[in-house]
Amino acid sequence: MAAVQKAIFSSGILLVTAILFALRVDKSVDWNWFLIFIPLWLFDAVMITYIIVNIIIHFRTSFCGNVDRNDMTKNRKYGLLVFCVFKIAFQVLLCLRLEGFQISLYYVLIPLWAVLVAGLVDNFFVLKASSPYR
Amino acid sequence: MLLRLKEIVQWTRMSAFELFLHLLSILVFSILVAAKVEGDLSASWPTVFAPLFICDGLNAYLSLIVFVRQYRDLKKASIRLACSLVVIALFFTFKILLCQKLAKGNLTCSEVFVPLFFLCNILLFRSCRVH
Repeated sequence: MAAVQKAIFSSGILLVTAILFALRVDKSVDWNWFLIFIPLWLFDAVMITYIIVNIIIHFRTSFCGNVDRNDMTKNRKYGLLVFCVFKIAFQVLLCLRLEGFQISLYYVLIPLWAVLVAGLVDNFFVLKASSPYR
Repeated sequence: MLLRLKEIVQWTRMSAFELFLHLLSILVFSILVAAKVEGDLSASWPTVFAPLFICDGLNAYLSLIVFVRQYRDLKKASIRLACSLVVIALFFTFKILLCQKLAKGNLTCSEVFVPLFFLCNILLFRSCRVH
């Protein structure tokens, strides 16, 4: 996928999710929260497929310096897969909590905190190194 | 993720440092929200939202500094400042409205989300210029 397609897809998903979320909170629709999160499930599915395909391509092709054309190492792709799993775990826990299950908000937010800390550490190293993103 | 940091920077027109500030503020905010909702923190909603407001203030300050440092190329600097300030203003309005809704409850969610809808549309148009 080209960057422009990925960006348009992400913005579209963001917009549809925001609209559905607003409708559900205002009780204009009475759908299950898992249905409200459908755009995000779709986004996760595309993201996981994209990463897995990239990992397979990495195995089948010998890249110079173990870095592919997007400046990504194999370990980084595994890390992104773990990131996706944490993101999905957060969404599932949030849906369950919004559906009325008695789960502490701390437990719901633990995957989100893991994702945010990983993002912060990654961003910090990019800022510190001023090198291409890997 | 689907997009790399380089592409996210191109797409949102935010620098890596601005994104870092946003992530940090959301992390602190989420911890405060969890503590508030679970009853471990007795602070008011505006206090809980303080990290997000501080982040917007710092981002606006950073944009102004970049504008001053780019003053020789005034057209480019003005465009960058306008792009940044529009996004920061929309974010700030969204957060203020959300804070008001949680504190007083006199707004509907559709009203609160209006700045976010605008922001999504802006991002949709900006994404057409990502290389």
